[in-house]
Amino acid sequence: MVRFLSRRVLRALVSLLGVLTIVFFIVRINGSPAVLLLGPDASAEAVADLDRALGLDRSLPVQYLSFLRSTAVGDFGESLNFNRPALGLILARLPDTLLLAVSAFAFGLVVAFGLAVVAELWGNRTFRDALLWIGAVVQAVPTFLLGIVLILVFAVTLRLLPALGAGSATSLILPAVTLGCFEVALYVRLFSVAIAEQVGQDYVRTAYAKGRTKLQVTLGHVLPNAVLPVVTVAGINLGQLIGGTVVVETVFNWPGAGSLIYQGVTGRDYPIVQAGVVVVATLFILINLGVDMLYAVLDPRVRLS
Amino acid sequence: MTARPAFSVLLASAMLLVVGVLVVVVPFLPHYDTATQDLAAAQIRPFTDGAHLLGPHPLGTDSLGRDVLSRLALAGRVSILIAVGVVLLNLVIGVVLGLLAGYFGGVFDHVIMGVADIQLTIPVLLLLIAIIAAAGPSIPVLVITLGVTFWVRYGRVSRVIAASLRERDFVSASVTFGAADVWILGRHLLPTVVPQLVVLGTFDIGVIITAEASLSYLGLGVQPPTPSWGGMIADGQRFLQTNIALCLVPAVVVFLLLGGLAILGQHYTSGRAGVAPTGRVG
Amino acid sequence: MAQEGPLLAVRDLVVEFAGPAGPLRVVDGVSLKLHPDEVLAIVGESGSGKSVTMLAVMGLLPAGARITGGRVEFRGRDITHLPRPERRSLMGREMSMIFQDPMTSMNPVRTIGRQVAEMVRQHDRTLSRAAVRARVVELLEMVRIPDAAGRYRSYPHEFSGGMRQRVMIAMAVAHDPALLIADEPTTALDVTIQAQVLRVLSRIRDRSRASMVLITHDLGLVAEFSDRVVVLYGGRVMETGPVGRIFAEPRHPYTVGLLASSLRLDTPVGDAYAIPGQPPRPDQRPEGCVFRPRCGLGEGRADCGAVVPVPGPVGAGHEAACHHHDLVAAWSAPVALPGPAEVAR
Repeated sequence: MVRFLSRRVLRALVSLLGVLTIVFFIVRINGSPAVLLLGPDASAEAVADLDRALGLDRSLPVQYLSFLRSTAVGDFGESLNFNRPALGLILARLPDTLLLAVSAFAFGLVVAFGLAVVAELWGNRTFRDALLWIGAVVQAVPTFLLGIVLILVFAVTLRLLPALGAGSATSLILPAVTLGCFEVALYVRLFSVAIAEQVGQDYVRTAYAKGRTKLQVTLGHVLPNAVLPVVTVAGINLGQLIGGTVVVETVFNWPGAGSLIYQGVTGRDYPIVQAGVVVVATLFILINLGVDMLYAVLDPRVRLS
Repeated sequence: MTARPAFSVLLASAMLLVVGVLVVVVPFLPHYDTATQDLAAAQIRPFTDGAHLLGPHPLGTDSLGRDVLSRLALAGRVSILIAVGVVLLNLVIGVVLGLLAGYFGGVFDHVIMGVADIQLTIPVLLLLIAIIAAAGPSIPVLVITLGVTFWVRYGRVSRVIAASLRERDFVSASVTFGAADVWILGRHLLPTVVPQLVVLGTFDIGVIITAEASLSYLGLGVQPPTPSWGGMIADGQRFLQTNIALCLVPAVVVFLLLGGLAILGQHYTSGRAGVAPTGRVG
Repeated sequence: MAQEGPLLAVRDLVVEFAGPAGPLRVVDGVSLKLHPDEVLAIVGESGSGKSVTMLAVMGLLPAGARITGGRVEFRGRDITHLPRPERRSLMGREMSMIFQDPMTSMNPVRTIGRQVAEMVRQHDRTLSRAAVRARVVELLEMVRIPDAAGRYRSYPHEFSGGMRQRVMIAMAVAHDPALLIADEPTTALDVTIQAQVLRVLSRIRDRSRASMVLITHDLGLVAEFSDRVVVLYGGRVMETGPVGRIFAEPRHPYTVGLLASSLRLDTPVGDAYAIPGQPPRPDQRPEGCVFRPRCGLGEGRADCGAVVPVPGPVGAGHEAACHHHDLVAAWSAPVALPGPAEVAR
């Protein structure tokens, strides 16, 4: 278990370093990061001044180390449009993004789990196939498209739910469901595969041989084992979900870190983009690590090894 | 098993045919015009007085009075070309890296597959947005960034194939004759790997179109005045309360294409439902 | 309750598996009887239908397999197509099964204690938590699990194969079932562990006087533990009889082959007589006698290729399904067959 976890921690650190390295080079795509930090309207002297101030006249490895150092203390520079530290702005918006992502994630997992269990207990082939076919289409359609369709139906036509912003409690519903539909489709598939893998196992037959009902065997034996492989994918996916809220936050004008990053992109406010990417990527990697730990708790073979 | 094609295949073919006709035939119609603005004839709704089927604007006009049908067709051509270009780039990168990792093993394998692993643990879409924001949005930036991002699956598949083929007779026979490694890779491994990956790539086109449409919707993909489906939908969203069609028409086209591809993909993979999960791309 | 009749009677049982090219008859008209307090060995190569027959008896056929003919009677009552609730009240209480592979037969994410407790509670809902726990520990001690109370919270992967199989035995006998089915209970274990597990199994059976069906391809086990033998091949019964007669006077060429090939490899005769070829797949069974293509006796005889032999009496409680059972003794004379003592370890 200690070995398993230390390897995962190491991998997380390498991933983090990878992200930082990519960001380090992204900033230098146009030559000097000063161009991005000062915005497109900056004068040549201002760029040169900042270059010197930031030590951008030094060698690349030295710059890289100082970049890592300032990242470690959370210094991403000031937002050009808000004139405040970029990190603080992103962190202030983070709870809303987390709320949205976790709601969508929970919605996806719960609905998919329910559908997959019903499909298994009911044993109806048509129902099971329909789930997979509809899921395949839902997974293929871009999230923003689904969001707009939901806005059209529930906000514009039926006028049941608010379309934009985060004004009321109900305004969470549409963006969370939009983001969650993809999750439902993904997890129905994963759960179905995982359940199908387990029902043929010997220990399931042992449980039936005790005289247990299908419901008891499914809940008590099949599902605890079927959940394990899903947990691993779910970890990667929750991370992707948080990284992918940008689109949905933009569609619904949801005031999270994603839409702030998007504003940073359109407003040429690069410190915001940089801080946002690093923060969200760190979160993403931490979540993956957390899921690895959860996996270790759920599976006694890992926990006790 | 049966000669009669499955319902799903017929449905998917019909969906794709609509998009195919749009993209291939529409540019040859007499009223094809993607650029001319006419504010006097802006926001005509589809299939209404100004937009009967044989008139100049069968699907109406956008907020600047440009012909929606023509723009849909051009956007489709652009989208599909980008997707094909990206998939080819993915394929080349994936095959080269995968064959190197699988054929030589050792350090190559560790480094290449390590990079692939790390790509799975970082938020790809977010980094794409950061790159595009830094480099400025344009079609070449789009193709290159997407092209270097989604190679991992091809890399994995070709690595496995290369590693398994290395053990087989015809490769080891070449080795004993002292054939150069490059020759072995090119002559023996490539022809085996590529056909399998082309199938994979065909279905990946949908994934790339999704990513491109999402980025274009955000204004980070195809730039105006070149039309894109994502851009048209974003444009139409501003008029949701007054003219649903502006948003709905391109949305339906995107749905037909991606839904059709998904149904075909599901048809060819059903039975082995355990397809490697693709991350969210937009 | 019919005390005089057999505890279990299988009559002309047919089990078919759904195959891509139509149903596959894995069990093709098997009949057998098990009397109270008796150990019946079912022997045969893998694929002969031994396990599937007993899974059908238990009501545990895998998805895609169905009983399409014949019947299963338990205590004189037809249980072939019993409704699920009634079937479940039999399983684990009246009849229990010990499976082949103890490595995969237990849920990897549930503790040993909890899995045994599940069985204990299943057919006795009145027990308190403490009583269930006490009964589980008692059962584990009965199968000689050291520090049973302390191992209650262990997981299967922390147990060795032999220990797991003993836990499976403890689970199976929790309700003193009248019928115990052991499906190759030691095949997956090391030779040294096999004896240990069998001692436990045999001691527990002696105590509970359960009737037992022992599925095996190990004639050593047959000689040591069983009263009667049923020899299966290609989904059909080849020969059945008391263990002494089967070993001393086999009346079916297949039984002769099984006995001869069971000799250790260092015995030259064992090399001399091995059954040639492979058992037929269910969709490739020959016309007439299913064993004909591999039979040293039937070669060239017309009736073997045309008529399916039915088991007929060849002695006291002894039946053989061979057209030429009267020739078997003379034909097999040159082959030195092992006696029960030699086969048994």
